[in-house]
Amino acid sequence: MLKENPFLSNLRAGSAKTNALRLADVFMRGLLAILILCAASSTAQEKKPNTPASEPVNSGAVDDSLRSIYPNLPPNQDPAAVARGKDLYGANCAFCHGKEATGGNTGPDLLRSVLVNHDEKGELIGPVIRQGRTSKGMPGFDLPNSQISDLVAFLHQRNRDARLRFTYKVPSVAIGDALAGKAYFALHCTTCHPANHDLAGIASKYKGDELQQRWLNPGGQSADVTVTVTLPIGQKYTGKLKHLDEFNVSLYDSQGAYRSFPLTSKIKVELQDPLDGHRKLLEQLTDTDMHDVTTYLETLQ
Amino acid sequence: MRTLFLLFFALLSSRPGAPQNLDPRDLLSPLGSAWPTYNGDYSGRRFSQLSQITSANVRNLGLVWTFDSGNDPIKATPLVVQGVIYFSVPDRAWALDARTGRLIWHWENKSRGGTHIGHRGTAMYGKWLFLVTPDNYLVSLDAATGKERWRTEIADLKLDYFSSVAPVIIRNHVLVSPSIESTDNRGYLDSYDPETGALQWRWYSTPDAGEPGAETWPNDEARSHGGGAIWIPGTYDPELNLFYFGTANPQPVMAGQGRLGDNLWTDSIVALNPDSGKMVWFYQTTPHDTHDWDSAETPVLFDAELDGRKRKLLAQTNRNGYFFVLDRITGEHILTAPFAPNNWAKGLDAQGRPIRDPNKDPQPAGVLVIPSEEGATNWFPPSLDPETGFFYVRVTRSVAVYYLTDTSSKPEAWGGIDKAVLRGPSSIAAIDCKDGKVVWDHPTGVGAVSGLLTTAGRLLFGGDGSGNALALDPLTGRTIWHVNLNQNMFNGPVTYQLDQRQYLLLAAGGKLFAFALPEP
Repeated sequence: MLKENPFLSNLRAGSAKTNALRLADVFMRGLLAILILCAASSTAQEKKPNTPASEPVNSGAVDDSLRSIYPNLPPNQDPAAVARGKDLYGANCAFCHGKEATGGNTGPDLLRSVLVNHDEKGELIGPVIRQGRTSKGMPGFDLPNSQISDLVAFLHQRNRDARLRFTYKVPSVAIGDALAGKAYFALHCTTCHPANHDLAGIASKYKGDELQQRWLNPGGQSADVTVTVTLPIGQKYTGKLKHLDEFNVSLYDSQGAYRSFPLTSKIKVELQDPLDGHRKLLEQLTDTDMHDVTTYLETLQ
Repeated sequence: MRTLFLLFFALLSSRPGAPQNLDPRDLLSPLGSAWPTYNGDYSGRRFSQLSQITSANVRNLGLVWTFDSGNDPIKATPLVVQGVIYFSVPDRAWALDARTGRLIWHWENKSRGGTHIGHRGTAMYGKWLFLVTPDNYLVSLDAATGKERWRTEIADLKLDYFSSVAPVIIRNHVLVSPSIESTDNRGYLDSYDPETGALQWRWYSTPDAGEPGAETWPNDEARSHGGGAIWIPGTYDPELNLFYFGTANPQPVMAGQGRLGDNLWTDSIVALNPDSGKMVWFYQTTPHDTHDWDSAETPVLFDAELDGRKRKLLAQTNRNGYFFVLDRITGEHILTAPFAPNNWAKGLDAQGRPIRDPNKDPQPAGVLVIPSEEGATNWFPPSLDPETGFFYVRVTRSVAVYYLTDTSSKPEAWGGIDKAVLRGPSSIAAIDCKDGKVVWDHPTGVGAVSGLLTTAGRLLFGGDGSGNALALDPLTGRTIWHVNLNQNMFNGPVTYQLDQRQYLLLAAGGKLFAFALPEP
């Protein structure tokens, strides 16, 4: 019961049967197609927004737009200062506070530290480094201002990077068996992708997890959904789907003319979505299959 | 006597030109001509007794007025008290004449920062309005003028807390809670004095050292930074004097290896005494959450006969894909049933809690999980119609690859990320409270996030993902009425009655729309 198909409409309407059901089903399938096109602009996610992975990371524009949503995000620090600070941290601090500044046997987690979080530019961190916290066993470090400032830059960048999940780096996804992946591909994918000709070089274009997401659902490419509307008198209109909801369907016909139809029980709507196969795969794919196919596709450099 | 008292207030509340005043005792009455709290009344049912607009005449609804806030989507549920509407977006609040939609006042916070992704709304006590700001102030305004009366800081902005919840008023308690963005903090619920803004008590979402529940954390560091923010306004049973709310995910969010154990009281439904701030019972809906499921959704209160006995119950549709029913006196588990597809759980344990499949925990090379972190539902207010006995919920369907990015023994913040490979489609589903079965499921397209409202006019209101507002038959899910508002609805629709005329108040995008039947 739990493992029902999540991709088709889950219709169990009591009295809303026959035509309404059929329409709703068509409506649903259409929306499935549209959703692929709209995936990146979905607004469903409110809590903790997830910036699309395709967006360039650490560019000035991204920083501005992120800080408009998260005004308290520590600003990006000077990378050279962060690199110097990281070395200083490793040499002087990591022994007690842990390699990642997340705490060690004797020193507290510096990413969760109230003092570090309250600090702007070293005005709180600096004195603690210099004077130490002798009551807690931390010695003072006689470092020049420039080095304190580098350590501060490292800690604030580390904090920022921990907060921003979409900057998290996914390690290698190619942990599967390329031969098994090739066999899976031959069995499930060659109807639409014969002899791989359209996938040659895909691993040069997309890397790592992006390649994995991309092949699971290539929604970023604008795959056009073709719709055929059949009127009660038998007249048919076929073209590129523009919009479909519970009440209306619209399309651009082969002449490029825009046509819109109210959805009634007597109108038949058929959709052809080139991405249907990918959604069907998502329904049946195991994690092993996924990793095998990704590993195989990574060989298509 | 009690009835007379309530009747007096009911009359007062509908009198034209009555001064703005809301006695907390008014909140004890069932939802009538006003909409005085986030959920309308304490039950969280969002079921209105108003029945002028019915399934038979809803087709005649006409637009009475609109108001353009000029702002981002209105996600707050408006209050309607004595002919005045109060609504908010982050850092802003408005008062409008509920008859005409004309502006009475507008208030703006000079913000210090904080996450600005949503605002649930305002609360009223006496002549005062209360709201929280993204930069963690609880602010009290004069409801008549919008002038600020006082503000008090409820959380540390620099520790990455921010605030978006609508306050809940219970007698002389203003209950608010900050949200947690990413940093590993401890969630909590606060009670403030509505007159002075003084803190009355604070309840933490994870136990203190040595307290029962502390053993579900590996160490003090993990426990005292363990998350469990309270995102959504709770519900209240005046007879039991219990306040019900849900706690959110444990921290770090997706990397669970540094917090082995059930991680109480994160992802739990909690019952608490609002006078003492002491927890009376809890029920955990996802032990050791590694997918950010939360248990934040509204716990909706209802009474029903069970095995020949009348029971006080509570129901929640959880982001993890399961519908839960509990005894709200004791927290005893009654029912768990899936209302949407998922593949992260292997079944239910003896207490009806989903059993997490460790193979579906986030992993370095990714695992396919249904649903995505958006969940099977989310903050969208549900509704429960006591006449049908159905619980109505906005359902979203999705698939994501969940990655574990921090494999250290002490991960921070998220420690992982999910990348959605399928978003949508959504629907409005009716769940039978008796057995948890989905009775009908009405597709609403991709991106629909509106809350829901039911009325004694045998109507269910909500929105779809194409900018349409819908009225459905609550029994069958059939569409009875719709109007294209050209932007999606983000909040919960409300209804109120003024001068013997029932209004339906919808928000789409940054605009409000008031509908009513033609004047006789």
